[in-house]
Amino acid sequence: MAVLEAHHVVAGYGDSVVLDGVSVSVEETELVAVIGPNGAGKSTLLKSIVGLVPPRSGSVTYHGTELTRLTTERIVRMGLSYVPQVENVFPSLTVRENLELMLPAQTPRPERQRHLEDTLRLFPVLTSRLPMSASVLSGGERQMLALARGLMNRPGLLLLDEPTAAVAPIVVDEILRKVEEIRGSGVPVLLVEQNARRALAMSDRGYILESGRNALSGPARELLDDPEVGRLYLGLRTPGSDRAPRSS
Amino acid sequence: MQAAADGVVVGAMVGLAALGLTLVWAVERFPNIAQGDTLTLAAYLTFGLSVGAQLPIVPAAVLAVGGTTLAVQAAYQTAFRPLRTSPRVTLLVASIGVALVIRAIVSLVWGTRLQSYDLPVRRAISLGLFHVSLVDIVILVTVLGLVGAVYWILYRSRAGIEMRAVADVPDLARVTGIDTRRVLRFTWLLSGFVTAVAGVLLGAKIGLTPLLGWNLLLAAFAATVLGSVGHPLGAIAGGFVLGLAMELSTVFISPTFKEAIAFVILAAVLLFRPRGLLAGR
Amino acid sequence: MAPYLASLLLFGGIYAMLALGLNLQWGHTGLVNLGFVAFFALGAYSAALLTLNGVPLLVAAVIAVVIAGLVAYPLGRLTLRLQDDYLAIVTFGFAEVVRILLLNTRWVGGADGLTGIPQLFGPLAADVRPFIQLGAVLMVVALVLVLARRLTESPYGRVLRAIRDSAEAARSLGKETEGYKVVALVLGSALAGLAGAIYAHYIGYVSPDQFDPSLTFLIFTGIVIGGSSHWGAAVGTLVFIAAMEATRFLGDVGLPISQSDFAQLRLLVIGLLLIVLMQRKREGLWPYRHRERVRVTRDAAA
Repeated sequence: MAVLEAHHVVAGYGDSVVLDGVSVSVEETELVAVIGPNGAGKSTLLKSIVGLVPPRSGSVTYHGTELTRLTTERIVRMGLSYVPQVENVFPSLTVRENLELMLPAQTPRPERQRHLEDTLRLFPVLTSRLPMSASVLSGGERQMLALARGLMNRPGLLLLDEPTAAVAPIVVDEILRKVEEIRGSGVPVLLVEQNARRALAMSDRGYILESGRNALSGPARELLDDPEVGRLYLGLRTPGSDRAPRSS
Repeated sequence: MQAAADGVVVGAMVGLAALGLTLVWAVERFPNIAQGDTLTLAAYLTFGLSVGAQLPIVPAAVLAVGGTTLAVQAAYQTAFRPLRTSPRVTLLVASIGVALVIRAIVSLVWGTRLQSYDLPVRRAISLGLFHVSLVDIVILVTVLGLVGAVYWILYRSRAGIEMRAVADVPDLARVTGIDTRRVLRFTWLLSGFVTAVAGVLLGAKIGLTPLLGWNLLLAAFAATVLGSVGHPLGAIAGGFVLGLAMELSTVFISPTFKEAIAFVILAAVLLFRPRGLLAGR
Repeated sequence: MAPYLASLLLFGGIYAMLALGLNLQWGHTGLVNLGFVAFFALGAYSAALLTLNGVPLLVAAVIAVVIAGLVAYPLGRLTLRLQDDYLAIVTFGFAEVVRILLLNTRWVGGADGLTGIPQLFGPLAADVRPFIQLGAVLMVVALVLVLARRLTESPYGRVLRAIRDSAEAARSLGKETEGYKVVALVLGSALAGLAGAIYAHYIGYVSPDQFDPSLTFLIFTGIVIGGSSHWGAAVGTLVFIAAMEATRFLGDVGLPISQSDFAQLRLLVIGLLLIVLMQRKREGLWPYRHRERVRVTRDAAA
């Protein structure tokens, strides 16, 4: 059974429809990339999977359990971790508080400690930062903290929204390497990226969205080699319309 | 000197009122206009239970604090919670409504003339340059204890850390698995409790009129903004600054312009340091 | 009977002006001015002081309008670059300060206020004066309505509503939103000043207790009931104030409730209405419709 199966998801804000019947799936241990021009609905797809933008129709299942009627809090506690593109750490909390909040309140102390140590093994830079306020971290460190938060509760699926969008170019490699490491540790990942070529190169499969619909999908290798894909989506970045999430 | 001592005591109460204000402001993101009238309600409940129902003052005060905390929770559930997806400014307007409702009820039940608790005769204790009453000492001890407790809750307990998280980035709090509803309930509970205690003390120090808390509201706003919204220690420090400035102004300027002093401080903070003195970011 | 009716209508005109001013701030821009009554008071006092010192009424009224607007300007500049909440608390504080200053300043009469303010059209005979006064006030109201309408139909008015309705739109305008909001605050407050000037010269005296803070909430509730269209706001306010005033006579028909209890009950009603309206009918009975939009929907229906 697939880890995640989203089927014909329709969602949007107010009167506007952003997702118009999108389907994606993620299998165990897979890294799946979702790419497409700005405004194609990539971010909204992740938001509707975790219930921040509840789907109007269609279905989303996680290990066979229907998610569309559940609250975000419930979905997250089932083991889906979602790392937003911006505002993905609590700046006025310490790094330790940021991490420990990901565990349910009743988690016993030794277990909490174990989760923390496991996470820090993957993100050693954060060890010395634990007592600091997250607001003093550098851009790259902040993004590492966001990823670390996503892994803290040992999720069954990690949803990443453009993890390289808000960081300096020199940090991009480091972050993408971390994403591969995470996948290597056995956690399936659904990755939304604007850096399409890089994302496909490291993924097992890929989906290309266009105007809220599936345009193409297949093994990442094939998509990369497809000349049509190269011309339309991987070449010069399409000057897509920067659609505001809430149009008046 | 006496004015400074009074200033400290008044400041402690302004600080406590500001503490109740700052908690809700940080998490719900609006200044609760009903804060002043909540103070009034707590004072009148104490009055009603001690003078009306003839209870000793301490149990009356405890019951009044409990009653007021419940009333605030009820106001949250009926007036504010239904607006959780509305623009913040509608919560502000609804809080004016809550303020007027509380004031009208207090006036209808207890009348509008000046009242006071039936406290045992106060013996002022002389401390050289100034004297303090038992009430003053109770106020200072309670305020310091309560601030310590609130600080501990916010920075050491899970519930408090969740509160700070919701205040910080509400959407991220949701995808962190935090039960926002529970956090809001708890925030109003804590704020209501702190405000109720402040109201009981205020009634003991100043005496009761239906405008008791309303008249303190401007100072509480100024203290909150001065100490940075969301900072418990800032609210208390702001309270002391306001209390001292207002009481000293009665000596050096004129008692009638106390509130004008609060307004000047508020305007100066907004002009020069709109995020308050403690805002680090 | 006729002079009494004329006086009722004239008060109605003054309240309508206040409603239009506050509606520009809350109804069209979403600004919460908790000190609206202070601008009304400033207009009344400054016009009264001027005419008492021999300045012609028309000049005095213009200066009063300018003063009320000018005072609003720094308050707006101070707060509107921050979140909207700050305007509410600063105007609240401002109104308290104005009240205290009026009560404690000797040369504006302190608690007694100012008396002997020249009447509008004072030289006219007492039997025609009320009707001429009424006619003049209604003309001013009509003029204000027309100007308000033109303002809100202009591109500027459209921007105001965009700011009110959508944080997104407001953000795309960036720093400019502050300027738009300040103008709405100033114009609305100036209108309150005009209403104050007329009021002072109609009843002939001003004192601090005429400008009770609860008047702000009364008008606020009226325009929230009426909705943000100019007529809606004015009519909503008039009907609501009339209903509230009517309760004064309930004591006369034998209900065993004292006048001061009635005052509290009115406050209770205002409070409950504000809470309920925010939840159920925030746009009021007659929300503002842009003319173009009305035309479009008619076309669509045809």
